[in-house]
Amino acid sequence: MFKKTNLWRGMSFVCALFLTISVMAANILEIYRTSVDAFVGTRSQKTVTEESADGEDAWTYQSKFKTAKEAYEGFQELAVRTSQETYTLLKNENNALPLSDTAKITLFGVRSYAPVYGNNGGSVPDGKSTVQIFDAFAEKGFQINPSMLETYAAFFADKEWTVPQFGGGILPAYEVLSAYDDPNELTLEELRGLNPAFDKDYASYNDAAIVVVGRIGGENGNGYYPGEAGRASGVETVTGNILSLSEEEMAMIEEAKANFDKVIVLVNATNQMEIANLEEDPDIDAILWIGYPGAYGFYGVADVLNGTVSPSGHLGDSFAKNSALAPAMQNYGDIPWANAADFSEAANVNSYLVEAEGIYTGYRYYETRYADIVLGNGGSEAAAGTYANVDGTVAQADGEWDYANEVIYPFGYGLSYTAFEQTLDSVEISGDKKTAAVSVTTTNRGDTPGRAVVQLYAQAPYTDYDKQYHIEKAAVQLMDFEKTNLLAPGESQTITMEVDMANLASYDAENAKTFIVEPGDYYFAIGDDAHDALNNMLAAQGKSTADGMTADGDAAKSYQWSWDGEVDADTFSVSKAGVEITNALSEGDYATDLNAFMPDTVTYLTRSDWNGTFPKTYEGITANEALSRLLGNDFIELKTGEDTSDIVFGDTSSDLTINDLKGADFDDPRWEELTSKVTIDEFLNFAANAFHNIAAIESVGLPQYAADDGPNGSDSHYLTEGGYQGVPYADAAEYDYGTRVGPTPQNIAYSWNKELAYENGEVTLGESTLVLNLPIMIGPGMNIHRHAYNSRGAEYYSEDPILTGYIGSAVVQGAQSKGTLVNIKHAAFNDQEINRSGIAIFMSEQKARELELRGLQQAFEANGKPASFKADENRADTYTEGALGVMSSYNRIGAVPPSANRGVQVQIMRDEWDFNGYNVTDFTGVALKASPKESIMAGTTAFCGFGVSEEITYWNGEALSGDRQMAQAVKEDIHYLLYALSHSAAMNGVNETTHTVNVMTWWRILYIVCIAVFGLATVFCGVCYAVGRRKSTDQKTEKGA
Amino acid sequence: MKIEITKSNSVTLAAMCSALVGMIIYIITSVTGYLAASAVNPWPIIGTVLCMVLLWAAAFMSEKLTPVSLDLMTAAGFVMLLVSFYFFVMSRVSLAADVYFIPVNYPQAEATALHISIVGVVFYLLALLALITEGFRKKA
Repeated sequence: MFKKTNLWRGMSFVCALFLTISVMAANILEIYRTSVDAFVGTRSQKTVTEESADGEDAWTYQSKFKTAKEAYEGFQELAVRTSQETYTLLKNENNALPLSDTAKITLFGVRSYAPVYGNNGGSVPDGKSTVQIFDAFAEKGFQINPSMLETYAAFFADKEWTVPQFGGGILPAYEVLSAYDDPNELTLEELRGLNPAFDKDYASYNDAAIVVVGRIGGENGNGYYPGEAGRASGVETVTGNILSLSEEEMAMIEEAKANFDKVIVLVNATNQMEIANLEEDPDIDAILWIGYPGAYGFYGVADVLNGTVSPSGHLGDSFAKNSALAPAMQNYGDIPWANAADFSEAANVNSYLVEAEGIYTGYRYYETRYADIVLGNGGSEAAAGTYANVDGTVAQADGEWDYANEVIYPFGYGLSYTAFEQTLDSVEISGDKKTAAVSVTTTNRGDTPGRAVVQLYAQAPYTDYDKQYHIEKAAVQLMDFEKTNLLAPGESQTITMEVDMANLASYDAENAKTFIVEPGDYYFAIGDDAHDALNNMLAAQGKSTADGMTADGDAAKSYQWSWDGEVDADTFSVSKAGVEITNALSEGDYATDLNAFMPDTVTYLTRSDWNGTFPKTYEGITANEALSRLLGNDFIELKTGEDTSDIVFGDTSSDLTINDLKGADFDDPRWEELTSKVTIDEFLNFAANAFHNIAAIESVGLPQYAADDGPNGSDSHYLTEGGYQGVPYADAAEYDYGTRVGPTPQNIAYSWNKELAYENGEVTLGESTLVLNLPIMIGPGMNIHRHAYNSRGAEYYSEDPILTGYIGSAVVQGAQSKGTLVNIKHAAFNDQEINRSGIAIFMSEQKARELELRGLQQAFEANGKPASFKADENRADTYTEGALGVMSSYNRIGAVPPSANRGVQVQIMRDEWDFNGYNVTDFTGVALKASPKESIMAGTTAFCGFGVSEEITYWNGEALSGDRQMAQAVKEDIHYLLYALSHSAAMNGVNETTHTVNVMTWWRILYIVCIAVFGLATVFCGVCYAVGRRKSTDQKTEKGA
Repeated sequence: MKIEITKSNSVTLAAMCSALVGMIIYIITSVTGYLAASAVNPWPIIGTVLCMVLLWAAAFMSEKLTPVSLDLMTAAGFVMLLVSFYFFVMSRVSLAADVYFIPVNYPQAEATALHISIVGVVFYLLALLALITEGFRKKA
């Protein structure tokens, strides 16, 4: 056995190599333990709690699901019910819809077999749960043309669903339909090739042809580009843009029109598609926007198609004939800095966006320009390339801008199977100008039960003062909204809204440097959509179709009042938290206005001169010295040697733990005692280990927890891991399903239903937290839709800050009622996915404050409480605390990383909005691209990512403790994060006995076994070698003797 | 000392060459491109240099060494190579995590640094395989 020394020598080498690899794997697995858990669905640590000595119930937050079955059914029920309210009926000629319950239908289009159920990255739908469109329709009673279905099935027979970019599981989408530049619709010839008789059952299934057209979307997509750049070779579309229908899609629609009396189109996209040709085609009977319905959403589609539910969704975005002509689109995509190559790679300097359109995005542009034309204020003159022809193509010569050529479906648009009548009953504006009570009565005048949406808009005067100080005003803006109950035919409901007038104030960055209201005539109006409401306001101003209006308005649906006197720079100059509001983003390092760094570079779009200031593309800009200093991401020098002895860290003399401050006020004096126990190094360790993770802080008794990405449910975890109050579900193994099953967030916004949004917060985020023990759920997403072409719009709500803000606020409130520590994402200005990490976003402070930040503000201030909640005493304890967590964006805010922009993160969020919670970066890690030291000083409490990059050499207590400002910031950040966690489910079930223990996961067992086996094998082989060598030597010695 | 490439030391020399290439790639990727601003972990360099010294001695001083000493030097060189391999891989794990697990617009230079590093790691693996082959060789 021992003779073959070469064998043992070689084997010992082999075993040593495998031992090294095993140790390496063990280290990597432990370093990325939480990520491994997320990817493979394990839990490598758990929190153990014994019975409290005083017997107190530690379960502050109660799940309503006690079994996996209840959870599975609960998530599904809400997903279906939500989806029903989100679908938006855009066209319904001659009551083509609803169909009968048992209609015999023929499905057309590749997406009639493989629709887009949800995002392909970020908020992905759960493939394991997904009920496919044809199964859902069949289950609901529709009889589907089998030969067409088989034809499409044949096409997909050799294809499989894919996996999402982020998170785990199966993405219910095929690779063949994953291109942004080609819808990949099948031609009739291709269908014939798959099944020569694909059309043989047309006559038997002719109650309706349902054509499904769609576009994909999701996180990190390269996105959609307008014109030729956005189309793959050979792809031709109606308007020339990829968001209109391709020739192949149109061929499918023509096939349906040629063979069926009734043609219904389902728009399965969250980017606003350019479908004017369908609206104007008399042979298209109905169009239903379905967005991304989610895993169970086609049950809801069937319910709307067959009339079980009357559609009640309304658009949260403007649908243009040619969205690429929006002024925002002039600055979009990859526009690199001319000197980007001068920066280190780690600084992550790539491109920029100059948002020269100002506040004029979405309906604020279309409706305001329309109003100016009607009012005779100019705006009709338009240069070539900036307006649309009647068919939606780009006009190639100078001409006239015509609203009818621009907008096909206005913001707020949506039809119903019934008819509603609304009256503006009363408007009472408070003496201090801060609120208005507006009552509206809705009556169902049709013969079908349905829900209506009350949309309240306002108009502020555009004055000489505005022109002098470059303040812009939209001619119409949403102020509030409510959804009625299900109204039976003839039934009425009166809703009184308490309107926050702060949302009507304008930001004057130039003169008053705060929010102002001006003397002049103001209007409120209700309407079926923004355009209708504007027409009602214009009617009140004596205008009609004779003045160029698209339709006569109803002055009775508007209310006019006047404010006299001087410009009021006082009423809205102080935030609800009592903090004076002044410029944060117009000057200095944190400016978002490029003119602050490079004067007179940007000309912002103004309604004073629509044509003359229509944005140009700002390209080829070289960052000057001031910008370059900031773009390098290292712009605050870390001081050393300052006296910080009065800022206490690591004082463990106190017995307090975080559990003692569960639910305590932010100003509770015990926080000073508790935060003093934490060392700077403990904080840095916590901050650096925040990828789907809440790191333990032992000194204050904070256990470690997993966290997960939302916002549409847990991205990585399944009900198989679920449990109730710390006890795993007995039936968990039977429910290998996720919680990310509902329609996409944009769909939820299109419901215009605050109560439903609250319920989605409770269940989608809240119950995900409680069932899966994930105290942090990253969501909701509250960035504004700047235009139609961003590929991640589905994760965000709308183009409007009030719709976004109030829906987001409702989701936050619902989630926090269950203990979820929300991370609203992304603060702020994640306006495109292209170069999303590193891109510098520039805009005026007025735009920043009146659009994106106004939307976020509603959630941080707990605004937008539904009228029904205000009237319900049992809801008195809701909307009492704003959002307790936020995730900053990838893009820079101005020239600096978002987490390091003190203007937004400190002056506005922490101070003006009184935000005292957890603030985490997006996936940056502790790396130069996140400006870590500057970000800590700006209130960042954690850095999502894989630890500390090697270029960050100061990530230790010794390096940071000599800088007084830094030490103070660390102390405050500890307070923020502990306060937020103490008000979350991280404290659920926690008492004085709670502690964290490691769990022997399968991968831990694997690496331990490997290390043991290969370690022993190495030793064994070494010993065998030694013995063999000894014997060999002895034998040689004997022979020699 | 007679420096002569023979059949008996050719595999060891191949291992040395491969390790040398791996080390050069490690150094280049550590001091240029994405990782230029980062501190260089010295252990892959120390380990490789010691490995080279030991293997050089084993290759060209075999006649002056006892078989046991020769094996010990080769084994020590192998261990040094394992040390280099270990620290090289561990210093590049964060790049792999960024590039492969969370594909979020990482800089192209990061992917470049990773992919060149993978080539370096492969050279270290080849060196290790060569020494394993040498370990199994029956010596006269």
